[in-house]
Amino acid sequence: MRGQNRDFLAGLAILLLGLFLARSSTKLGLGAASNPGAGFFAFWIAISLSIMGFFLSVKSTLGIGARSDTPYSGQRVWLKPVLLTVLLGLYGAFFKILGFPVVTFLLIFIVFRWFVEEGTKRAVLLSVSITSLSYLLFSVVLGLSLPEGILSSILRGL
Amino acid sequence: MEILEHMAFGLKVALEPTNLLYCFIGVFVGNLIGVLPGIGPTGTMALLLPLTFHLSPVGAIIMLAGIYYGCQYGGSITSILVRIPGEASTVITCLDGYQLARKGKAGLALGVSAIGSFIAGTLSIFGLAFFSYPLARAALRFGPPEYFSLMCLGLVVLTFLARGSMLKSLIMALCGLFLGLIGLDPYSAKPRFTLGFPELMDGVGIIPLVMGLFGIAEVLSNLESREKAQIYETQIYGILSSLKEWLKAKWSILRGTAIGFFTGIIPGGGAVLASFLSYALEKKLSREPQKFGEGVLEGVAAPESANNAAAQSSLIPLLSLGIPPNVVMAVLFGALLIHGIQPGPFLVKDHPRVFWGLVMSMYVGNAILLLLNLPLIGIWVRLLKVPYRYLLSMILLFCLVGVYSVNNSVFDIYLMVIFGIFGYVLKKLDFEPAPLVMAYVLSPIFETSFRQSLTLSGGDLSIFFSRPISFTCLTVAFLLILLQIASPLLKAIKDRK
Repeated sequence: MRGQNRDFLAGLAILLLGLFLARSSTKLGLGAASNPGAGFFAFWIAISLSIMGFFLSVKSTLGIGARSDTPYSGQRVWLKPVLLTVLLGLYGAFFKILGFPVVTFLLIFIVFRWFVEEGTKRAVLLSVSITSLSYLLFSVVLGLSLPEGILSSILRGL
Repeated sequence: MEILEHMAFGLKVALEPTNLLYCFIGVFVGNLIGVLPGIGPTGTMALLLPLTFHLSPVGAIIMLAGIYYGCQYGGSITSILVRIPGEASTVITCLDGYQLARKGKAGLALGVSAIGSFIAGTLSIFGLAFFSYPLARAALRFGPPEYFSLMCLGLVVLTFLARGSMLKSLIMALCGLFLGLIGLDPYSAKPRFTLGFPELMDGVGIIPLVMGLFGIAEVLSNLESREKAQIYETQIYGILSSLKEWLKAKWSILRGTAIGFFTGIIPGGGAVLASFLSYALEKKLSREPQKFGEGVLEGVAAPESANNAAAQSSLIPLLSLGIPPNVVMAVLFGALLIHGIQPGPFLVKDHPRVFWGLVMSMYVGNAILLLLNLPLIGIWVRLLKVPYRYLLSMILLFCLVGVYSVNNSVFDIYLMVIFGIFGYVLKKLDFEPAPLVMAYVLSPIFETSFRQSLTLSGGDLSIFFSRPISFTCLTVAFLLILLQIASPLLKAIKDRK
């Protein structure tokens, strides 16, 4: 996507977001100028945001301050970031159920195996080492309360 | 004399064994982070912030500040030896530092950089002590309109000096102001924009925000990168070179210090701008400007002194006015609040241990860095050979554990991931996240001072223009915006003619 087009869409999105937030702010109560309500300050910020979004769209349409873009490489560079985001979401979802050691091991293993493209054996070894060391550091040394999940009986027995 | 007594008290606090240890840890980690590209002081401070909860406020702040100025020292090593700036503030050092290294003068460049940084740091600390105290006293006379206008000016200057488009920076600042409003209204206790999540009643936490925008977003961006760093093998000798070489750089160091000190105070200024400005000045003053970029000692001495001076002087507005001039100071602002300390004019009076202890710990930290930096160069260079992909998992882990440990809440993990995606999208669209964080931090004070001013004046906006300080701040802010709008328009008209 070209830079100007991208800025135009970003500006448009900001304009709409600002209008939506301004509308939400009015529901909180604007109050009077001498006694501003909960939504007063938020309303004016949202309006300013809309104006700025409008300016950004106009600026990109007129081509003011346009810069040259890095050419599109044709590679799916976004794939890994998207997959990692999903993985982090799953990490959060299973954090308390499976516990810190298990989810951390799985996360690190997947990162090393598929993101860093290490061999399976090396990925397992690195994941086990990093998980054990981080558990020792955060839970034992620093005393942070991390969920032990399905390994709680084993870890408490140690 | 009174200030010297305070400084002596601060030195006593800084030399307490535990504080000395935290200072050492801070500068050591800072030095390490400065060496490693891709991890900045902001992200590191955010990562380590939850770990400081168990420390005393003085120890925690000393350690976090140590990370920032320690970074400036570390960043120069990689700029000189491998032409990879560990920090944005050391980008300019690459030009002449690396060329000096190629000529076999790596030791000289590193020595000038370290000692220049030490001199700049020392002078800045004295400046900090002498400026902050009277400024804090003067700020006690500020009312809500002055505070509101000063923050307006601060945010406008920040967006004016920010990298890239001012319009985009202003949008980011407005987003930050809005994010800071999420939570209970301070006057009516009405929930605002919480989307029904009870976790948002206290507002968006600074840790998920900063870790997401600077930690997770950085990791996501780096996953796209396939570049491999080339390490230039060189012999390092002559760190403590001849006096003649040193004397050649003395004025550059002093000029760099002066530029760095004053640039650090300006909102949005900081170490990056200081290093670029001082380099430009040296080139202008030089009798042989054409030699800059080919390995000139002044091209290393000035920016290195400037970035360190700026790193220290940027504490002045934070400690005396309660206004962080850059994003790193915004994180430090958050850290002070977490430890129950309100930065601003009352800090010196109410928490002299924190204020003077921090100021003097920086002097101690600079001395530690000078001793630590040079012998560890070999280790830092070897560390650079560790591929970023191995560091990636450690950064992720620190982010996840750090954010969870604040409130033992999985919600914070989700929040951090959302801000991570947001930060990644911002990078793609060339929006700078720094104004967002700064505005977010200032948002509660900004809103309170605005509402208080209106209540005081009975809704009359002229209160902001009838007071001299407030009027001056708003006029300067308005002129800066006008200048920014007018210059591209005039350029476009000129080009079409």
